[in-house]
Amino acid sequence: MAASTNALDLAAAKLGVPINVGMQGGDLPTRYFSALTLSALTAAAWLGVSYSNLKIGALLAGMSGTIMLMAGLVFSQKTHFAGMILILVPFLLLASTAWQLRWLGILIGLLFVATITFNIASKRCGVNKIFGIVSVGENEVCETGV
Amino acid sequence: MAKRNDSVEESEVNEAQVQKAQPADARTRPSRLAAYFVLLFFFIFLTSRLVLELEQRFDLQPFQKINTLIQQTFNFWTEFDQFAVTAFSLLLAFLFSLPIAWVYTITKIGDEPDPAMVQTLVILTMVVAGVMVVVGSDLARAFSLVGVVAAVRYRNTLKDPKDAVYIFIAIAIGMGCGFGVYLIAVWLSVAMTVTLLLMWKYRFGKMQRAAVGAAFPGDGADGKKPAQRLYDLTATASAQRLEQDLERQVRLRHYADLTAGDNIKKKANLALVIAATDANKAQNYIEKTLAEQGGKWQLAGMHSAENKTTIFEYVGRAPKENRPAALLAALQAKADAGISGIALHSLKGGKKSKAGEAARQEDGDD
Repeated sequence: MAASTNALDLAAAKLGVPINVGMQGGDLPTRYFSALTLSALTAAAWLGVSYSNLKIGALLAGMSGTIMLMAGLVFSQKTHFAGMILILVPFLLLASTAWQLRWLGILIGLLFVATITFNIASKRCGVNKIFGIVSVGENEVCETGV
Repeated sequence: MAKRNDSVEESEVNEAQVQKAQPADARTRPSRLAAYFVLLFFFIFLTSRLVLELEQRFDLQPFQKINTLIQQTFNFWTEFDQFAVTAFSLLLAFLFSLPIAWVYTITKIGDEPDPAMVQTLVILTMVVAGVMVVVGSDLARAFSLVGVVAAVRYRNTLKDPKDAVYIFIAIAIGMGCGFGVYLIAVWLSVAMTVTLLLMWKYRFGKMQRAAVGAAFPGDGADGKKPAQRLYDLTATASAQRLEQDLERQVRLRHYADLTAGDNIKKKANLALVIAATDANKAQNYIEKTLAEQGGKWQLAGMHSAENKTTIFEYVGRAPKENRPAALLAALQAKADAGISGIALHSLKGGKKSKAGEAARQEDGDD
């Protein structure tokens, strides 16, 4: 486990992304939430849930993402990434399903779930770097060991 | 040492970064707020879509009312006219209130115009316009508004009565914009602006007093009312001096009350105020002269005044055989005694002040 974490860290470090994902501003919890939501939506698409039900799920996910992004923009929270992901991905998934490209939607869902998981595991996020967001507390830096 | 220099440099860099970051942050805030509103409208859109979707899938009969409300409220295209009317009313309210706020800033006599008041004039107009759009012609809403305003108790003490006039103008313009009578609102704005400016330019109140002169009953030959003359008198330096003398006399009388205690017969009945240019020399001479003249004298106070002058305050009783004029003559006899002025006040007459009595009682208690 430790070896895999180090490998992830090295991979992320090669991309030039510093450690910037932590508990501050609700960054990590919202990433967990977005990962779970996207996993559920991808699984629903995979299991052949009707378009209407998928739409309701995507709308709910989009609404929660909007609230997260609003909180990040105005209320100084660090929930930008989860907000953007939850607005973007459910509608991509929904659009793919509407265009009879359900497998593409599933692929997109899996891709983003993997990305979020990678971010959570390595505690590094390119989007955070672009926006200049660092949600790592002083005590959290030592835990990664990188 | 090098480490210390590093830390100093680091702190300087941090300070520079903070200074650089502050304006950048301030610049980004309006755009963030704009993005927030975009997201808010997006959220409302998503909510309306969700309600539509749920309506098709499930029986929303128990939630019919909220469903109808959401459909009506969030459907921009059917409600666009209402939205346009509100936006237009608010815009006009803002534009019509600007001249009033501007006139307020330039016509404010005396101290600087209060920025809060200026902003209130603009915002209040818009708020009232918004409230009037909400109320419309609905009687129930109008009564609700009365109740809400009474509950909120929006009251503020305004220093200048003219400020209240500005507030009323703002309310009137706001009401005009809110009810859609824009022509009245714009004429109100123009007429009030012009009237206020003219009154300010020609100093309406002052000009009237000067022109009318002594025509009012009770006015003197100089065209001034007694109150005005008294005001002019108190504004002069001589009045200030008079006030100072009175204050001194009251204070010394109080001092005499305190030192005499219950023995009224020994109470000081004269106060001697002497201005001296050479304090040491003058004090020696004054006390020597007072001892020669007889009576009991006591130094009640001594303080410095303008032009390096020292003021001595004595209270006491002059002997019955010696007139105050003789005392004054004795004090003025020596030219090089360092005395520049002498005043003698009588402490006789008048009833004991209640304050003095209370103070004496307090002293007795202590």
